Amino acid sequence: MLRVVSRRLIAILPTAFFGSVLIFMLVQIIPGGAAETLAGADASPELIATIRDQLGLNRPLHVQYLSWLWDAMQGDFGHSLLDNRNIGEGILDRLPVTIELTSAALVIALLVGVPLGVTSAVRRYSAVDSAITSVSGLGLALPEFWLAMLAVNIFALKLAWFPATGINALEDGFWPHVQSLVMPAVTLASGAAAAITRFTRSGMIDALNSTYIRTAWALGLPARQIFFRFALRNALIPVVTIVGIVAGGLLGGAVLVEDVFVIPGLGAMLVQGVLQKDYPSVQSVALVLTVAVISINLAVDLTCAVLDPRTRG
Amino acid sequence: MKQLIGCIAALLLSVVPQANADSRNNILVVGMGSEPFTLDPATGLSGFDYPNLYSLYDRLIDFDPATMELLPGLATKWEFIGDDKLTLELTIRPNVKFQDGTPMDAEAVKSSLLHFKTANRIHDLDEVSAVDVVGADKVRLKLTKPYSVMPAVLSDRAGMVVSPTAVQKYGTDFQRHPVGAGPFMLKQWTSGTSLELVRFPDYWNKARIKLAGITYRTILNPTSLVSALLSGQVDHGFNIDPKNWPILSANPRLRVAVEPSTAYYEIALHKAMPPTDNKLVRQALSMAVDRGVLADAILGPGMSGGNALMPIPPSWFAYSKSLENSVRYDPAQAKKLLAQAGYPDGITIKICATPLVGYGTDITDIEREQMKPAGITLDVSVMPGSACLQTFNGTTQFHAWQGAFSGRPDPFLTYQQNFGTSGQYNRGGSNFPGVDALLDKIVATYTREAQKPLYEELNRLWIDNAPFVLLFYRPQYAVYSRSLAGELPNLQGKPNLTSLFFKP
Amino acid sequence: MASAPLPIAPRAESGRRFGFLLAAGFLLLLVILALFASLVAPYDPIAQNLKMAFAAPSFAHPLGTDNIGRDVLSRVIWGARPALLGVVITLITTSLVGIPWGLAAGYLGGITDLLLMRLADALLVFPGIILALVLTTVLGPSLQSSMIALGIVYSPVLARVVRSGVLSVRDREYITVTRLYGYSALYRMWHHVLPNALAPCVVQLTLIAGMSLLAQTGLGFLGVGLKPPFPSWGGSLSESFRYIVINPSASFAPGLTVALTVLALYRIGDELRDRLSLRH
Repeated sequence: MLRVVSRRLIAILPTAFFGSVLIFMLVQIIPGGAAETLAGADASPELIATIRDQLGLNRPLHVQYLSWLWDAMQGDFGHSLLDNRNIGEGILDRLPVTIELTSAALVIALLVGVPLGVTSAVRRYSAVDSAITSVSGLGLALPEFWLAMLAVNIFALKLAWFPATGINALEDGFWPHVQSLVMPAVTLASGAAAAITRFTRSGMIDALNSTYIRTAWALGLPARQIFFRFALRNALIPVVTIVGIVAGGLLGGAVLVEDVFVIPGLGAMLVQGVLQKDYPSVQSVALVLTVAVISINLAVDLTCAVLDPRTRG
Repeated sequence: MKQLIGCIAALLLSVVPQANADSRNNILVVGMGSEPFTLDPATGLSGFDYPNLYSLYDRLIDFDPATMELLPGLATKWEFIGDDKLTLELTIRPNVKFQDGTPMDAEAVKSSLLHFKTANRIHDLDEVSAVDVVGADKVRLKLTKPYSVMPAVLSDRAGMVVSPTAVQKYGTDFQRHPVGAGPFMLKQWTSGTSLELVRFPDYWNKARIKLAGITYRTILNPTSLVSALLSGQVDHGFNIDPKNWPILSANPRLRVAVEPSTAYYEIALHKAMPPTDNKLVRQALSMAVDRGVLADAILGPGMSGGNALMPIPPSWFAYSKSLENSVRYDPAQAKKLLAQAGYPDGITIKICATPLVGYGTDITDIEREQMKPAGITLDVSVMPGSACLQTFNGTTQFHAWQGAFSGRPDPFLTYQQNFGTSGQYNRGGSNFPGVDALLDKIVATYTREAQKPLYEELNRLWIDNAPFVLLFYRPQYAVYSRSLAGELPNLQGKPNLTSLFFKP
Repeated sequence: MASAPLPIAPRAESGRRFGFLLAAGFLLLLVILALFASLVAPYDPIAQNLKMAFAAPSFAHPLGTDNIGRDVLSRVIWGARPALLGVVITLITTSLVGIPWGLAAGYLGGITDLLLMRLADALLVFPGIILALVLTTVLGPSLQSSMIALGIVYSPVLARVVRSGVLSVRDREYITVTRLYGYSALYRMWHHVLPNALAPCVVQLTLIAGMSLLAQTGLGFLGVGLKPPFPSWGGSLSESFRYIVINPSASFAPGLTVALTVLALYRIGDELRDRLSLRH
């Protein structure tokens, strides 16, 4: 097992390296240069030179990259160009709510998607199957932020079941907190749930068609045991492999859903940073998100290795 | 399974919070459509930050909310001394403390004014050459020229007194750790979420304050702000899109108010690039917008504060009623002016606008249609607010910027900054004949009665030169929870919420 | 995961075919509407009637009017142009970047393959809309640059598919034969390897088309890549969100159009995959 873990760890290193280089280069390709853009209106050459110096833009590129990465690895992301805040602190402030929102959405997506996918596969080509397939198709196609808009209008403004904006702090009570999380998490989960339904369905169908399941049927084992003990276990492997991709997609969707529900998460920080040209913040948030997705994928890989000995090679 | 879902749903619904004053312990929750980058009055530039600043800082000189006449603040008295009136003497209120316990005395006032000057962001104190302490409660400001507007300047950002110990302690980080002598002090500031303030127990004018605290919640999306008001998540909001009025006023929990404001919508023009460097072209542009129709479409019928031809609202003394209707929508005449200016085939104006905010692309969409018959093509580019302004100011990519101006505490400042040769909003630094001399004359005049005829002349020059295409005045659209009372709307339209309280 | 698919029940089969035809018909209709918008749309999409703002659907305006009295149906029809154009830009960019990428990785193999695929992994971990948002700020805010950015973001997906297609045929006998006859590597790739990788590519491209339309709408919702007064579906959605309190139904037309278009693209992708995999 230890060998498996170390192999996977080594395998993600190049990915992490390329990812960090990509993020670093984003600021380098700003037309006119970051310093000129920041100096803005009527900037004197002296001011631009000062900013270049402050940002360390006069050093060789690889030195800049290494020092940026080294600082970031120690949690020092520098200061925001807008309000001079410590970016690391800002990320720490915002990370929990984004993690909570995306994990809640992931859990909802799995809780909805896996049972629906299994049902769909077991009752293949029935009316139930086509209903589930159609709804999941719609789930993939609906823009999450539009669902969010409609949800705000119906469930917050018309019915007043849920608060329209924000996430209530946990200190103000557990239920108000959960209540404010419901709409954002459910709307965010819609696409992911649909994707998981579809993957579970096809994984389950493949499993049900395999020789060992046919053998099990031939042996006269109870249907329940065949479906859940044998088929589902194998069907879940492809599902687990896409959880990493789904989680990445959820982080992307969170950018828009956080915007609609006014949730102060990393997505909102990124959008504000992009709109206000706060490059250090954008770089830092992008780096944190990348590391998050890489870690999720690593966790997924390892889970697969546990579930399916064949993939350990 | 079904029972479980039903059970969870029931639990969720049983705890729908009915937000009210009791549950919030007398803390006012305000929905803010923007968030300050800095709470140091010397380094912030946004007109939206004033509610926060008014809560944290008291100013040397206060003003009457209705008339903007000056009133004592942290300075109990002020007068120009000497025959040349080149010295302004302030008498500082005794026994006032900052929120960190530091005494607010003459020395503190001096270092606060110097802090403002050295920050060098806002040029309101450029005419102050020296600040002298001449006694425990006396400060003298030496002026470089007669400057009757200095007391009004001290009722604005420059007069917000900051604690010298806190400035010393935090350095550039003071902007995140503001300490003033105002009624509320910082409890917690979480970027993107909220700014929480609590009552300052040793505030000098304690009787005035009834709230236990104010929480400014950041809700950048205007629609979400309306939702938060409708669902009772916030008690108060301002700068609300008045198109939501029918729904908001139908809500039994809410009260809507249209309050005065010095703010107006404008098309800012670049005066150093053709064709907007040409006076005839600018006049044509001013004639090519139908202000009334535009205002009704943007703000809703009858909701605007009237058509704007002058950069100050009709309720101010510097306004000239005689010039009110001197420019009308006349595309045919505009076309003639363009031909006269050497553009018989019309012109294309490149303009930058920001979507999703009050003065977004709806305005430019309508303007484009109105300008068409005059032979003017409006070419709109969309950018986020700060990028838009930065590009207009810093490059020659755009002839125009679709925006708004929030007004200053004295008309002189508005005119000087927009119309004077060295004015910071005079893009292109155009020297309009006679304007600077007239401005100098106004600022060396010390009563409103004496200034009034000078302003009439200035307004005539403004309309003739058309340095901006002014559109319409925008009142302050505020929404209050019905349990709130005590608001003091001011003419500037920058709300001071410290006087609010929950009705018993 | 090799397995023989079960025979498909005849009724389900006819239902599926009907769904596919519906999807293809819808897309075709959309393309026609976009091409002939000037003939089809009942009104000029930017013509305003300020007195008719927020009009309810009627005979004159089947989908009502928007906040400055423009005909919503005409705006949805004209909005198909930037939407489809954007999708095409993304697909072209993805193909131009992704196909050579995958060919090189699969054909050259070894360390090149390893490096190219790690780079693909690195790009894949970025949620598409986030990278597009950042790139658009850097490249300048326009529809073209955001769609090119999206195309780059999605290209590793295509590169992977092409690479596995190449790997599956690289060492087959007929390829070896062409090598023996002295055909150049480029010739072999063009004439033998690429056609084999084409089918899965087409399937993948329909999915990318759907994702790119969703991302484009999302960017428009955030106000990126709009060119007023010309209509776009994302722009219409963000406008309708501004007035959702007073006019909640305004978002239905653009929202549903986006959803149906994406649905149709995915449906066609599904169908192509089924047919192509049945043939193999």
